[in-house]
Parts: sequence; structure tokens; C-alpha cells
Amino acid sequence: MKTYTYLSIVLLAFDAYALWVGIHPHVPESYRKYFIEHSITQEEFLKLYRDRAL
Amino acid sequence: MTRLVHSFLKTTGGWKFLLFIYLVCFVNLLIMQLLAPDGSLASSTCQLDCFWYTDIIRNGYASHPLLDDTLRMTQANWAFFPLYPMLSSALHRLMAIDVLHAALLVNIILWPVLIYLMYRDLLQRNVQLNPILYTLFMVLFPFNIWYTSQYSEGTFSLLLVCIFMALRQKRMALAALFCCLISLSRPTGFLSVLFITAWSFCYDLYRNRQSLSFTTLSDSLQKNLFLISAAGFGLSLYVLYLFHITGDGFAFSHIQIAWLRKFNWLPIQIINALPQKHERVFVLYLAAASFVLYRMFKQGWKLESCLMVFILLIATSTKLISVERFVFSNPFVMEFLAVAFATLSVRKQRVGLSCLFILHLIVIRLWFHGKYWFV
Repeated sequence: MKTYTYLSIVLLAFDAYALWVGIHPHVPESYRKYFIEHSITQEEFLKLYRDRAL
Repeated sequence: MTRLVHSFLKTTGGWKFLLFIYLVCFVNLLIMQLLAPDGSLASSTCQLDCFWYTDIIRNGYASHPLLDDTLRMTQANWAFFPLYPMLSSALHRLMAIDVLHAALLVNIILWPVLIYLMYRDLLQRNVQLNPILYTLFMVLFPFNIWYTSQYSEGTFSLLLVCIFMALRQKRMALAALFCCLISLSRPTGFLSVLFITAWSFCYDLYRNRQSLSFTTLSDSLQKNLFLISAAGFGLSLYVLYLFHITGDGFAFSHIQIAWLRKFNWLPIQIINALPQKHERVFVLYLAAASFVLYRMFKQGWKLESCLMVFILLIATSTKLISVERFVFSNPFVMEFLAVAFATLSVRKQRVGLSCLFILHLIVIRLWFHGKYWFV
């Protein structure tokens, strides 16, 4: 059981790191507004995202 | 003849039963091949999500959503978890076969194994069914179409049954490995493990309520934390990979908006679905699923039915679509229905098998012709 406990601690630390990375996305503003916050429409997203790509 | 085959299966080991299942599944594939509209089983079975899985196998995960595809505008393949495409890709490279065939082959291999393991699972519950009747029921069951198509149901269900069997045999390391893999198979994988471990912890507390000690509590906590951490490890790998390619570790969840999937409570989802011509049928499926899950709970399949309700609530929190896939293609629901079927009289079983066969053919035809409303 001790081995499982040590292994759990290591894995949970890794999981916590992934969670931290997951809740801090590095994405363009248009992506954040459309996919994460749902505050703009698809058309607005497409325009902003394409403009950014150009 | 039936008696002969039955006694053959009874006196021989599991391998011969598995071979028998493969044989029945092979006959089923021949029938499917005959029904394939363009003569190709691999392309006929490739419907709906198959596009995304084969896209992942061919091109890997995209770094941007689709911006020029009018049918799939702003969608991306991040919503589709990597285990099934990885297995298909391995077969594609190893056997040098076409992507569509490789993806189908994974399920052709896994489906009979799943049928076999579900039978073993029933044996562990002290339920012994006629193996021939059981196999025919499973192969003809109309809601198994995803197990013979390019879908990830096969890997997910196989791992789910494996987790239950490993936990019952107290093989923790093996269970943890399956928990890790199931998190890589479908979005509901990690959540299923969370539910199973929470249930297991509460059950341990309840079982030892008369003589509850710190050691019992600590052992149960360590065991369940180990499973959660292993499942979390699988999901974390995918999160970090998505972060690496897109900058958003939870892109698999955020991308749901591109399918117009938004969180809402179940009653609101039902109200929203009723006026929609193509979504109304899913309300009926939901009612049927609720009835079956209630019967499961009443007949002692408590963990399995509660797990299904949990998955159902999560799956339907964004849309009712696919509710029948989540519930009726679940291995425990299929096991429960097979047990219920076995309690019928011989005459009713024969009539039932004939009806299942006809329904099975109808579902295959509908699937092959892209009539998705039925399934």
C-alpha cells in the first residue's frame, strides 16, 4: 500500500501541474471570447481570428 | 445441434468460447458486407464521428479549428480522445492497411473480446447464461452498431468492464492502468473513474460502519486516490499535449461550442429538444433509458445504474443527441438486458431473437445510408 501512496503523490503532483496549465490557456483574445467565454458569435470569431492570421 | 454446441462450450475453456464469439461476429460482418451500399464495409461503416477519428489518424491533432469547412466551421478534432486513434494508427502502420480499414479492424478485434469479458463479468456476479443465446443476443442487439463502426465505444467499454473486473479481483495496479487508459479513451472516462472511486470509498465506509477504524479509512482512501491519480495521469497527458499544440489544455471541452453544445440543465434540454423535428426522438430514448436504468437499480445493479445516470447527466448537459448511444451501448446495460432476455420463455426468446435480427438489419441499413435519427 505504501508504494501506491508514494506513486499517488507523484501522479497527483503531475495532475495538479496539468490542471494549472489547463486553467491558464495561452490563446488569442478571439479564441478566448468564442470558445471559453462564449461572449462573441461564430461570425465575429471568424473575422477576428482571420484578421489575426493575416 | 444447439445442445451439441452448448455442451461443447460447457466442456471447453474460455478460449473456445471466445473463438465461437469471433465466428458469430464474423458471420455478422459478412451480413454487413452484403448490406453495404457501395460494397465496401469500411467506407459504409464510416459515419459521423468517423470523419474525426480518421482525420486524427491521417493528420494528427490540428493546431487550429477549421475555418474553411462550411459543414464543420470552427470545429476541431480535439474533442476526440487519442486512445482509439492511436490504436488504429498503430494497426495502420504495422499492417500497412488503409486508415478506414485499420480503424474498423480495431473494433472488429475488440468487439468479440468485449462480448467475452461481459460474459466473464456476469459469471463474477454469479449469473450464468446460455452462452449461445447470450452471444446471439449481443451480436444482434441493435444498439451495438458503434462496435462495428469507426467509433471509440469499443475501447471505452472494454476498459470499463476491465476496471470493474480488476477491482472485483482486488488487482489494484491493473485497475489503475485501465483507469489511466480509459481517461485517454473518451471525455467521460476520467469522470467515470471519479464516480467509481467515490462509490467505492462510500461503500467501504458503509460496509465497515460497525467497526470503523482509521486504518480502514486510510486504506480505502489510499486505494481510491491511487486510481484517481492514475486516471488523472491519463487525462493530464492529453491536457498537456493539447496545451502544447493549441495553447489550451482544455480545448477538448471548449471546442464543444462549435457543435452548438452549451451547458443547460436536463429539463431545459428536453424542452429545447421537443420542438426540434430531429431531436424529438432523443426525448423518447431518454425516457426508455431512464426506465431501463430504474429497473437496473431496482434489481441490484446499483453502482452500474448510478454510474450510467451520472454519465447520462454529463452527456446530456449540452444536448440530448446521442443519449441512446451512451446508455444502450453501455456494456452493463447490455449485460442487464441480456440477463432480462434470458429470463423469457424459450418461445419468447425465439420470437425476440427474430425481432432483434430484423431490427439489427434495419439499423445497419439506416446507418449505412446516413439516417442518423434512428441511432
